[in-house]
Amino acid sequence: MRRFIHWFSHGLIRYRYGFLGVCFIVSAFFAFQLRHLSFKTNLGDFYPLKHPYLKIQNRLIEIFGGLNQVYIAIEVKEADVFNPVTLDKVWNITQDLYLTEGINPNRVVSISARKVKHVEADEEGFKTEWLMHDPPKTAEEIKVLKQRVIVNPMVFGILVSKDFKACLIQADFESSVGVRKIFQILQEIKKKYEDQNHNIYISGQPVLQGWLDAYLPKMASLFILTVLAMSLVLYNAFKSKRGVLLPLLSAAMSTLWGLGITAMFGYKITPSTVLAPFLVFALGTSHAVQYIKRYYEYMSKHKRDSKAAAIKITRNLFVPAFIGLLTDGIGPFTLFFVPLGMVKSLAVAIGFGILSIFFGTIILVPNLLSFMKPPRRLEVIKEEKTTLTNRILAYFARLAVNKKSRWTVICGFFVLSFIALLGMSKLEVGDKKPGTSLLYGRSPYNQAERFISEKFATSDPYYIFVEGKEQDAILNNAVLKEMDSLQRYLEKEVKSVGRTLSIVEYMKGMNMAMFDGKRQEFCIPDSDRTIAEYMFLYSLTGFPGDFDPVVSPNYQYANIKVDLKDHRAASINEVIKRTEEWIKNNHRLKEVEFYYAGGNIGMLAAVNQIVGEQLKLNSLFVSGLVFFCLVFAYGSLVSGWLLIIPLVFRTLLVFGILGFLKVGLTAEMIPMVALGIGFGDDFGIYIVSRVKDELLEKGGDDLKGALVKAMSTSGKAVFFTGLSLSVGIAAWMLSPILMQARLGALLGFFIFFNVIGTLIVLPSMIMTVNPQFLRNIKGG
Amino acid sequence: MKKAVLFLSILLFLSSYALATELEYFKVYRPHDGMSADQIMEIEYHIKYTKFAKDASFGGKAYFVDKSGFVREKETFRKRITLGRKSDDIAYKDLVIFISPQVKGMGTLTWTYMDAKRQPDSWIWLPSLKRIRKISSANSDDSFLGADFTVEDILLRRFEDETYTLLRTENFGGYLCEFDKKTYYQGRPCFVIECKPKRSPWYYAKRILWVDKNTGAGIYEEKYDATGRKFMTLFKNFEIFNVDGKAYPVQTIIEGKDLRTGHRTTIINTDIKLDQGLSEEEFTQRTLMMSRW
Repeated sequence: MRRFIHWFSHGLIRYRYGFLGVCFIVSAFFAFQLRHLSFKTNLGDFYPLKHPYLKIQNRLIEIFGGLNQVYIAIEVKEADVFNPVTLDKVWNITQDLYLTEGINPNRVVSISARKVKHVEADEEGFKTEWLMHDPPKTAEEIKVLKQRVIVNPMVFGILVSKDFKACLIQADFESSVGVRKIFQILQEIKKKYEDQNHNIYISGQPVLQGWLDAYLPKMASLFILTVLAMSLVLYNAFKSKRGVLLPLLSAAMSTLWGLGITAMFGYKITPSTVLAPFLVFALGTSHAVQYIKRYYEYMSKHKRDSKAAAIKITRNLFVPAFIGLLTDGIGPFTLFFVPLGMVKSLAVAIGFGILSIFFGTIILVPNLLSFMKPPRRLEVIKEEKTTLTNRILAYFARLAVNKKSRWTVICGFFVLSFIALLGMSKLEVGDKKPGTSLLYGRSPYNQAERFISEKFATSDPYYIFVEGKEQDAILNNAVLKEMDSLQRYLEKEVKSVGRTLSIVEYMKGMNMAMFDGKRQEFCIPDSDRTIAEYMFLYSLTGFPGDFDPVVSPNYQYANIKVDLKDHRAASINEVIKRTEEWIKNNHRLKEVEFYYAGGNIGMLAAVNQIVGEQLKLNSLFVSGLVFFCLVFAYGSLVSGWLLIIPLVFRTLLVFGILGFLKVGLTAEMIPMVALGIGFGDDFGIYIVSRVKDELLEKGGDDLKGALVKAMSTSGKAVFFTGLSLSVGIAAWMLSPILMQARLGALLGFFIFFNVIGTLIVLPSMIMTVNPQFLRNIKGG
Repeated sequence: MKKAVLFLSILLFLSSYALATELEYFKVYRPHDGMSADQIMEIEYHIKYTKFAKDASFGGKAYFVDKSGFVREKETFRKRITLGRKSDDIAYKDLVIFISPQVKGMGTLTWTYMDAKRQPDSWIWLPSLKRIRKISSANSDDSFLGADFTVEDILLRRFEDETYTLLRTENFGGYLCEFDKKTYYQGRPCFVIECKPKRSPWYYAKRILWVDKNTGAGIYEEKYDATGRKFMTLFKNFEIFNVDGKAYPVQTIIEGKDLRTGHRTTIINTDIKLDQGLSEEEFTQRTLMMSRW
């Protein structure tokens, strides 16, 4: 190994023009590949598509439609919606939607939609007419409409809010219509109909995707901000141009290569992959910092020869940088096995980036340094000057050197970890706030979701799929009675259930109309034949597809829609548990099967399950692999324990804090933990390697001296490495996409916490364990 | 001179109006070159509602095909008696009995009135409940029996509901029927008429109708929405039935396609019988309830 490093470090400088030329050509090639890069949000990336619940959801969409369903709510600020202006708006928006290319007219639902009817029954028969065929003009017409709305259970509270302050319009676009087009159409509607007395709120999956697409390009300005912030950190660390520009240049090259490979393999820039360039840039800079720090250190002590310095630092830092990058790569590697598209694509993009950092840091930085004139004496003195950082690091080193204080540090750390376990017991999987966890509560999308959810309780639907063995299975009294029983059970047993809706309600309503509108006849008819006749009657009165959202055209499949008041994990678990319970105890018919869980609730349940499982599994997987790499690199089991134990405890502490802060565990926690553990180990590796170098160079047993030296040199570099990495990642906190901001805040904090943890705890552990592998010259 | 032109114009307008409104029941009319759009359309409506025949009966099978290719069928038996009676305002009475297995015997009875403003009366019979209920007539822009075309396409649209412009005469390009994959009316000379609804806004902004020059039957139409987008096509095949020396053009195929949803409805009329001397007694609520299938 040492021979290879010797050969590599000398070859790198001897053929420096060749290496530089290769870097330039490859960079130009990858820059050319960037033309394939485009922004595209795919909401499927946020869900585990192979999860049984997602499979149910896909079947529901395949049979009943609703892939591109959107909701438009019109809120009136003064008085109520029953005035000519507001009703006119509802009518016009509905008509505009009918006229929109790509809309499915059978799925437009509002008080003026053709499929929303008013039914009046008497002894002679029943009268069915459009609820609002034309917008009413006179006070009398408006009064009649209001009365009809109030008595219609399929409209009151569903299409008109119970406080009369808002109306809801639902529409569904064909799958061929692009999300951007849908978003644009809806924004135009909002612009056209919003005025001083009316607010328009728009929600639905295509709208969310549209917002995410709209926010994505804003990340470019955030990237510039990141570069500026990191430049400041670097300037503070080195106070020189080369100290700032070289890490940035090498990181820029790694980022370019990473993006180029990503583009070459056909990946798009999504809300998750857009984070990769930031991360690669920050990580690339942080590794380069170690090289620059070691360069100045060399220059302060030896004959100031840039080539010799480049060879020396390559020789000293090859192993820690290589192991560091290897353990950095473990995070993305393990993330590739997480069944969530957003995590997988992020893993791929970061993986490519880390591969590129190897070239950017290990090859480009020493290469460029070898071309540079030696720094002026003043520049070296400035860099090596004792600063506040040095004093703090020296204090940490003293804590480790003193026997009493190092035990205090270790015990303190264990006590904190125990407290963290208490915090962890409070952790809850899933997001608790209304709306999507991808965006801020104040975002226009979440404001719309919140409004629609509050007024109409439709934002969090949960679907149960009723699958018949053969066609016409649903036209069976016993099947409808089972569906009815399940609906009533969920309404009674689950507090968070608002209401349920299925073909059962339509059958009961028709039966009531057939029997003179008598309330007691709101029940399922006894005869299958009557059910078939009612269904047929419905099919005669509507356009083809009008009933597709409720029952399939061949009457083989139906669904039960359950509206939940919130999507807290407890509510989701409860409704799914009760469904399972009912099916187990009450479902007897062989003609149909009940499958759950579809809709938004099913998708969230699937994500929650994956997050719960994967957080544990992935943490163990990453820790195991990092441990294995460390043992392999240093040739010692103790090295693995020495570096991994503090890391595991630091991870516990972070989760403990999240538990005490009552932050719900969401999907982005998985990459946070995997990357945090992978990256967090770098700091320890650089310090341990430096201690080992010092012991080898001095050829003695002065562990204290080696540790103090390592802390004042590599410790300082670790501090600035961690700081620049944290700052680079924490910049995501300014993203308009909450998922990114949350990941930035958590990962940034986790990494900085790792830096501090490493600088305080690791020296104490080294002094306590006094491991033999540090003196072993064969090991890395 | 100006007054004379004005007088002649008014005379011409009135005569065309008279022709348009005075087509007699139970007679067969044919269009010819030189007729105005209104005159042609009056004949088209006369044929559409089989006003030439005293009665008609036919079996019908409707196929509802969604864009995935899934087919739903409905089978009916229909009969109509044309009365054109001013004394009690009844234009015609329709009886439709559904004979698909699950809903066999279910039926509807509809009385349509001469007065265009008067809503038809309809009743429905549900054999499983043995109940007859009066039902409100559907809106003109509602679906006709769950098909892609509207009620007014088949039953309710009247001559007075639209304004007409003769765009051109041309040989029809032919219609490829999706049901039997045959091309109909290729090269048939047609009047091409633009029909605009008087009601505005309405679910369509205009129809372009191809009227067969030989028979006066509207064989094909395209509907356009307010944005100018074609959203629906409706094809009708007519066959000539000779009854007592009179040649009656009767619809045998109706095929409507909703271009927005990709859904299609095809109705095939079979066993067509005309002027068989049906009695008005066969078009009462009692006979509806007594229907046995």
